Amino acid sequence: METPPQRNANMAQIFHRSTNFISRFSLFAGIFLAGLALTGVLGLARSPYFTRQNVTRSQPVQFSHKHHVGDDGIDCRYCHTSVETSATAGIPQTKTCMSCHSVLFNNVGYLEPIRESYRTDASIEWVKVHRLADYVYFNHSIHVSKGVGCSTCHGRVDQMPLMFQANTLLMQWCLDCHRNTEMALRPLDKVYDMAWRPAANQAEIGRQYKAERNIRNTSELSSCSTCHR
Amino acid sequence: MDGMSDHKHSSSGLLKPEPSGFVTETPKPDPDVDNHPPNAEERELREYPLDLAVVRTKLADKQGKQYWRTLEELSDDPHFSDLLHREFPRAASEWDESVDRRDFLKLMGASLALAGMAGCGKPSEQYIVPYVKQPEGLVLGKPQHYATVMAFGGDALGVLVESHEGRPTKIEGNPEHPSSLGATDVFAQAAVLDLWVN
Ligand code: HEC
Ligand code: HEC
Ligand code: HEC
Ligand code: HEC
Ligand code: HEC
Repeated sequence: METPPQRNANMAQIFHRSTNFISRFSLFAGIFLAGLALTGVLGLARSPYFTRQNVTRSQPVQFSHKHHVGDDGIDCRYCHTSVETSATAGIPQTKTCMSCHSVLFNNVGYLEPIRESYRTDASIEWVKVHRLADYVYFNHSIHVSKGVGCSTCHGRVDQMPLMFQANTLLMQWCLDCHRNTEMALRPLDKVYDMAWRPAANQAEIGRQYKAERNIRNTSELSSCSTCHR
Repeated sequence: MDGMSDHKHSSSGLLKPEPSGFVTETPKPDPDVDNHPPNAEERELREYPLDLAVVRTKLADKQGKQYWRTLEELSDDPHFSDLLHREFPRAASEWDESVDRRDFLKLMGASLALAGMAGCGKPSEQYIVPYVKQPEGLVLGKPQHYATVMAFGGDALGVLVESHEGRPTKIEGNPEHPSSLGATDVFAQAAVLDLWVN
């Protein structure tokens, strides 16, 4: 059928002239908003809300590294026994706590979950603080034995009344170090030293350690199959 | 529409009878032209032709910008607005209680677009459940191997069982045992599943 000729004239009236501007403007605004949304999502994924950086959890026993490590000077390996030999550092058995707390504070209320665990042979359930995705392979023993200290990755544990995650544990964080390992390498007897700071000429000393300890180059350490196997 | 069909009609009606007085070809109805008798609806509309005087009085007190497509619309003709609300006047009215095609597409589009969102959100808490009394010689995260003997078919097969924190995962022959010398058969390989019963 023929369209009546008035129709086009009517359309011009329905849409005001400013619609031209609005439609062009909304094209650019759309691109801008999409970019903003993407930035927002990526930013959120890196925020402490999702990485849980600096977030403490409520544990069955409010265990304090500050008291046990900072004040009492107990070595990490006394409790995290497998850190030098295995992929996991390990959380101490109840018996380890009882070796001291059967005599120390042996009747205070907040240690009751430990005594109960020891009596009933049921494990304490600690909330996991550091948590890598299942598709990532991480190994403590190689980092520790090549001279990367606990505090480089876990922060000042001796000053933490409650454990929290000091770094993001994002892939970027792992790669930042794997690309410049020399900046993190320490003398082997300083691995458990919480107060260690890189020296002024760390890059130089680090390169020396790197050669001594046969540490592989950047391309090997940042190849995908190193961590995703 | 009416003018068009009238015009075509007359052109096909121009066929003249033959001199013999007989019509040799009856005019075929043109398939493009809808020349059915007006139905109730169309009759209704035609029964109320536009009365310009009424329209004028209705428009008398209107002023300023107002957009309209037809005089009927402008004058708020009740028959016309009734016709407008029936999208398909000749067919049944639209069944608008159901999810129609557009809504269906909208819903499906939205669910597709948001399907990936299921992967977002904080991961749930996990727990570390350590030993109460850790077995001697066990290193957390490392497997242990136990030398043992498996009774099968009246024989004893010397095997090594790999165990992760008390959970057996693999059975292999014990190279130092004379009955296996490091080898196993399918039954011994499958026997690890027996260890998980109960
Ligand atoms: C007296 C025993 C003890 C000592 C010593 C000790 N820890 Fe712990 N550690 C624990 C217990 C128990 C937990 C689990 C509760 C928690 O997360 O706070 C833990 C948790 C941790 C965690 C977090 C584990 C997780 O859930 O991700 C880290 C990291 C850690 N310790 C590092 C260290 C470092 C580094 C040292 C030495 C400077 C050290 N610990 C010394 C008992 C100990
Ligand atoms: C080497 C001995 C020793 C071991 C092992 C030990 N503790 Fe303690 N614990 C202490 C001492 C000493 C104190 C008092 C610390 C202070 O007040 O400075 C203490 C205090 C505590 C307190 C009281 C709150 C606080 O932080 O002051 C809690 C809770 C506690 N320990 C839990 C544990 C748990 C859980 C374990 C096992 C993972 C454990 N301890 C292992 C020596 C030990
Ligand atoms: C290169 C960085 C790095 C260093 C160095 C490091 N850790 Fe860790 N640690 C991690 C990561 C990453 C995790 C999380 C592992 C996981 O979720 O699988 C972790 C987890 C832990 C846990 C939780 C239990 C477990 O094994 O998963 C403890 C305890 C721990 N570390 C103690 C230590 C101690 C003690 C040292 C120093 C001897 C140390 N770490 C050195 C990165 C490091
Ligand atoms: C502070 C420095 C540092 C950080 C942070 C770090 N690494 Fe490493 N990593 C090293 C060094 C040094 C080595 C030893 C390389 C060598 O010996 O060639 C190593 C080795 C490894 C290896 C052993 C490779 C192999 O072939 O055996 C793995 C796996 C690994 N890192 C995973 C990780 C993961 C996953 C993270 C992040 C959660 C991480 N690392 C964070 C310094 C670091
Ligand atoms: C040094 C160790 C390491 C290396 C090398 C590494 N990754 Fe990762 N990757 C990680 C860690 C740790 C995570 C977990 C990050 C998280 O939980 O957010 C991860 C996560 C990922 C993810 C999941 C997306 C995300 O951000 O959560 C992808 C995809 C990925 N890696 C791809 C790669 C590719 C491709 C390569 C090689 C170019 C590579 N990775 C090399 C440690 C590594």
